[in-house]
Amino acid sequence: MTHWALIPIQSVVILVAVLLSTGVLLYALLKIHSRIMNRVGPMYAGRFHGVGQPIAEFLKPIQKEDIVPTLADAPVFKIAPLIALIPAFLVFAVIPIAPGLVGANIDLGLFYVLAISALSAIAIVMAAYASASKFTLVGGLRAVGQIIAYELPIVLGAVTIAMIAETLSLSKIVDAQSFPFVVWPYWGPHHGIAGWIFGLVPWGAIAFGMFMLASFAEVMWNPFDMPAAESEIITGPYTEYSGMRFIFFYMSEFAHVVALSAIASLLFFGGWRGPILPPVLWFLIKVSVFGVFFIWVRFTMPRLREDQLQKLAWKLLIPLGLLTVLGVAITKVINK
Amino acid sequence: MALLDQVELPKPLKYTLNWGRKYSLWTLQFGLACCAIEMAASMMPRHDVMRFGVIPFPSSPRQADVMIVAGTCVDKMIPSIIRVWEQMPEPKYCISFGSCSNSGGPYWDSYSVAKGIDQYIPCDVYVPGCPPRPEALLDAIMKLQDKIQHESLKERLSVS
Repeated sequence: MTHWALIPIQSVVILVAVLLSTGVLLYALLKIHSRIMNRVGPMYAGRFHGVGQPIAEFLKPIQKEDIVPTLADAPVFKIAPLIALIPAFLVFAVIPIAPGLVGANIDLGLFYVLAISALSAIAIVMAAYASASKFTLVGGLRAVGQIIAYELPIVLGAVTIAMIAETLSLSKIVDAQSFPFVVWPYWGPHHGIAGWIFGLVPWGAIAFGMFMLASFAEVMWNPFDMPAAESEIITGPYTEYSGMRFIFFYMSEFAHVVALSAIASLLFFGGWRGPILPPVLWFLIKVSVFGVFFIWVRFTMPRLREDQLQKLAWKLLIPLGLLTVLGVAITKVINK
Repeated sequence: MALLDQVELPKPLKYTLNWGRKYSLWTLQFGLACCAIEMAASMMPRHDVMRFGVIPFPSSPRQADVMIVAGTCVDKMIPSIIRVWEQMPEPKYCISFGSCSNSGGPYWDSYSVAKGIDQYIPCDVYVPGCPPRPEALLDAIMKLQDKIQHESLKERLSVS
């Protein structure tokens, strides 16, 4: 347990971490998006290659008018963006960056992270309902259906890893990964090639695929951005939001991406473990790689149809996830 | 917001806030005719208007800062333009792109074409040409940024 006096300091550190990582992700998003379209992206804000762009994106909305539609349910409408932001902060609190370097080292870290990140659905429903617009309502229902459907593949993917590592603590999962610097951690060097094929690696690979696919649906980025499909329902649940309140939603989405990147690198790629470089740097490198991957997919994939999305989750990912859990259990018993 | 339209901010703060607005121009594209093609061209690789911090993402007027009205506005379109304009949050800017939206252009004597959108909504920058080239839009963006950098938010908000 940490001393109580440290708690305010930790809170500030986490706040800064959220703001910094969302800013960096925003800059990376604009730049990579532009590079994918063969453009150069922001170049003038902040003199050098537009590095001031995230700051401008933060400074502008605080000056904008805060519009609350006449028909909107004002209190709910106003508080929804803040509720969207809370899970983002709470998730950051338990992510270990290096051995011992963590806001709150709890034994149920994995469970906590998955439970908290699903809370953003509530904020989206509130926003969708309170805006009193048909577009927001459709977007909100889509978002909730999507989050419910894709929470299960994420949980099953994480459960697979928890079974392999035999713990729910995020830092212990990292410790359980046998081979520090090889990207694939669960092969167990003593098993050799046979360990690769008949061991836990295939199950881990399936779990990883499921986790990543479902992550895209969780953060509602392409190819699963139907809740905010601009060609169909404007901006979905966020349609009526302007100024800072919209940016809160944006920030929570971005923080969610960073958090899921961090969790993916902790669960599947050895977290902070790696040769030569210090652990914190390794962790940041792995998270950045995942962040770039998220952006890359977002701007190169077309959007799926709504029914295809549901079909993918309920007919493919969830049965596959259950099979994976079964497979891991059997493999563990056989290898004992 | 309640504060910004009443108090004249001290200079460094004003500079910083204006700088923020200057480089984060989320653009609502109101493309109506052939000028819209040139507007689209200016967002493509060769001209890349995003270099100036113009983000052509928002699909909802609630999140937009600039409206680019590009093309011939017929009288039937005017209510829609006004409606979208009024949905945008202050401080908002308008670029009138092309002769038609400036003044009616070649259709100045048509029975159905509006004689310039500045008769209905306030415009900040006018871009002449039929249609103007994408470079002209880049110039307009730079002019608008200049204007934003040197304006007083208090005056801006009290006028509109």
